[in-house]
Amino acid sequence: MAEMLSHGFMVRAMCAGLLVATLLAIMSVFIVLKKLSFIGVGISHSAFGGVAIGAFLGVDLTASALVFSTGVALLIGWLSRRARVHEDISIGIVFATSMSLGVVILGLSKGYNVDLFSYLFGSILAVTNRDLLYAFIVFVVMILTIRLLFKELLVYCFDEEWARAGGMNIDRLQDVFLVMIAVTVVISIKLLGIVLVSALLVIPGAIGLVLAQNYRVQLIISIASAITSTVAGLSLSYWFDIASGAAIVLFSALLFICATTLSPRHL
Amino acid sequence: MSVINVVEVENLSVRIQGRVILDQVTFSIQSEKFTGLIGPNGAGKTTLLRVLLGVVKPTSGNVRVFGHNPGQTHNLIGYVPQTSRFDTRFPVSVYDVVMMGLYGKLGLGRFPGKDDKRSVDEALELVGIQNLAAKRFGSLSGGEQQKTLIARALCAKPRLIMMDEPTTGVDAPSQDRFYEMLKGLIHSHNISILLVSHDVGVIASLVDDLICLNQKVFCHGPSPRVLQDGIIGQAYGCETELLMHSHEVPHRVVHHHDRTDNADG
Repeated sequence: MAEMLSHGFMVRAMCAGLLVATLLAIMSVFIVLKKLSFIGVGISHSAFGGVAIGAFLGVDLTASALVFSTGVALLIGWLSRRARVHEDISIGIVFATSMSLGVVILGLSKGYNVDLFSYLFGSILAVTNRDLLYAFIVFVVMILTIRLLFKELLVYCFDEEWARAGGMNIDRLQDVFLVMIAVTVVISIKLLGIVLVSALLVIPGAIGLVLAQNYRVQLIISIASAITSTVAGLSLSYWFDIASGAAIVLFSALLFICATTLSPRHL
Repeated sequence: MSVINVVEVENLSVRIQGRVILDQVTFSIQSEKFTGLIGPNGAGKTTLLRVLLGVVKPTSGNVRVFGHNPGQTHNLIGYVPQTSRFDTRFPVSVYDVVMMGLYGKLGLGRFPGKDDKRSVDEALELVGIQNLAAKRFGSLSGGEQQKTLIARALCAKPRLIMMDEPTTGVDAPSQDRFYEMLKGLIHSHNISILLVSHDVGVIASLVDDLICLNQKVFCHGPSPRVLQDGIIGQAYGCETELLMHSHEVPHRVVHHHDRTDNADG
């Protein structure tokens, strides 16, 4: 362990890992309770379009992914309220379109030097000092936002219709929630990968749900399992030279299987 | 004696995507009365509740709730939705659910204090489920869930409680006790109750006023008079048979119908 942490890249990966795992775990609790896991998949996959546009324009990839994914999140929210088709359909169309757009743009930008495999599946080598700074800023802003909106998000998940009837602006809350997912996804991409980050928007919250009778305990279990998976996954990635996102997701899936076996009630 | 109306609805029409849901509906709800809103499935009852709550905008007509436009009086209304649409696995305790009733008053970023906890305890006691406070909401029976949702509405100290099909999934003896509890609340807390149900028989004999709705208001008045008028059958578009609950022996009330249309059946 000491040898592993003697490398600067590994320290950065671990620090960023702890920050993003905590945020993903908190968001996953709400996503699981509101049954929005497909929205997590949609927003995270669409970040690929943002990365490609950033590479094409030669600007900071995280910044362009942030702008693009926020736009996609708001578009999904808008479509789910306005469109005549079911929410799943609009998400499916939006994220496939964003990914295709990404592939076309990357194809057009000749001689791009984006390490595609790292962006899709995560890499412990990818986290720069700037990424760590981004992760820290987003972590602080997100924690403050979650503290501000925690009660409202809980009611939104439990009883949306009643909250609306009580005068809560649910449409605005939903938009904020989707943007929170988008922002969390973007800062997690380097470690977890575009394809795999959505797993951590679901699995930690699901582990919490099968083990806990109360959302407070669910939240604690969710954060603990996400941090455990991240530390274990990053270590496995270092030792066996495998994609960090895949290692983290496989470890959290293993925890989920253990949780369902131990659980008094099943999903 | 002056009677104050908590709800005034005049010529209310609602069309959603071109379909008429409510047509020229006019009625009022008096203060400190138990009012029943009945009608068959698809009669527009839930839409009417949503209009009163300010969630659905009227296409035309005039609606006043406590003298204001709907949606401006959230703190005066306690809404009790149907229990059937809750996810039983949702990890909240009964206490947590009741506390949600105070979230609107607390505002963003503020967490409950001592006074709020006292309000929740009082509301739990009022509906008689203080012993269930720590239980997971989803593990309760239908009737217990309903009481929890009423406690949630009560803890914000509303003046009007609106309930949508509150006895779905509640067995008959529990229903009777449930309605007695509601009547008690009207007198002890000076509140008005609007109860929506498709089940004519059970509530008809319990409420003070009855509104019979099927797109239009078919009848509106003190419950016994409405029942005798036999208009309910028109609203339901079929022969109705009421099983009356009273302090005496339960009995059936069957309205006389012209049976010349038997050949159709």
